[in-house]
Amino acid sequence: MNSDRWRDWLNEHGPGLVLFARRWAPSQSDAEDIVQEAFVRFWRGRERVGEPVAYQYACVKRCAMDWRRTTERRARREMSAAGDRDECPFEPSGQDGERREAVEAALRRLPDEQRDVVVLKIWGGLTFQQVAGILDIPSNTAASRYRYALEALRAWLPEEVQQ
Amino acid sequence: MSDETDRIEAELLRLRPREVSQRLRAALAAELDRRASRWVVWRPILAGALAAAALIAMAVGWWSPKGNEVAKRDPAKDRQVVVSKVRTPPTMCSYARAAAQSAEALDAALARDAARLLRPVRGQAKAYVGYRMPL
Repeated sequence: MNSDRWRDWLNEHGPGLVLFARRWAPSQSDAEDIVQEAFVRFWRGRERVGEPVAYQYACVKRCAMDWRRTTERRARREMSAAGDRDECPFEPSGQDGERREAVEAALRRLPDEQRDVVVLKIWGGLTFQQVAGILDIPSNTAASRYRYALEALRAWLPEEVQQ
Repeated sequence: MSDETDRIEAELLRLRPREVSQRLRAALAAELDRRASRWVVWRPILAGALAAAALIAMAVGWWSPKGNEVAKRDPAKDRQVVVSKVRTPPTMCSYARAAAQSAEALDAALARDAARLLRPVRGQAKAYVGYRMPL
């Protein structure tokens, strides 16, 4: 029973959590290590918090910071190498390859602060207030970062992708 | 939000983050099971320890002096005991008081103080011999 519950929860939120963790991790498997630690923490304390979905993203952020501290030098070296490796954080299916690559490339060009807000809002399904709580910024800042990010994406994406 | 913004949002929503790997699922299953089984082992131990602590607390409460027993004590008697146990150095005043009572009381006071002062102190006996003897 308990086993099914955590599996269901992981199926629903796991992909978004791993995508969020990619901000700090150079590879998908490192991001999954962060999510593993965060998920165990989250699962233990989920009944004590009012907003479990936002809480699990906060857990991921905390674990990612810890992970970065312990593997700082290796992570920095691998982060720079990861740009060339181009390990795709999205499913290959769902869109045609060209469009998907264009959107992904545009997403990668966003500053980290704006990409965080986009990931939490779009794939985490969180409100601006929840995003603000996780990133320790005011709600208005979260909303304006989101707006700037979408404006930038609109400018960068070719017209045919937006149609 | 404008229509263009909505289009961009829709475009982003069409991208689906990668599913979590089997490796992560297996690692989480092992970790959560391990924690759950550890809790199963520790739960009876913790319950037993709590029960033992409660029993000890009850036993201590049972055997400690009751409030009414304390109330029955005579404070004057307690004070007397304490005063008699306090060792004060010999003074002229104490000898004068003893002499005023009787010659026997003075003798007793002198004998008591002599016995106390001439008793060798462990580790310091040699140092005091030369000083104490002229008394």
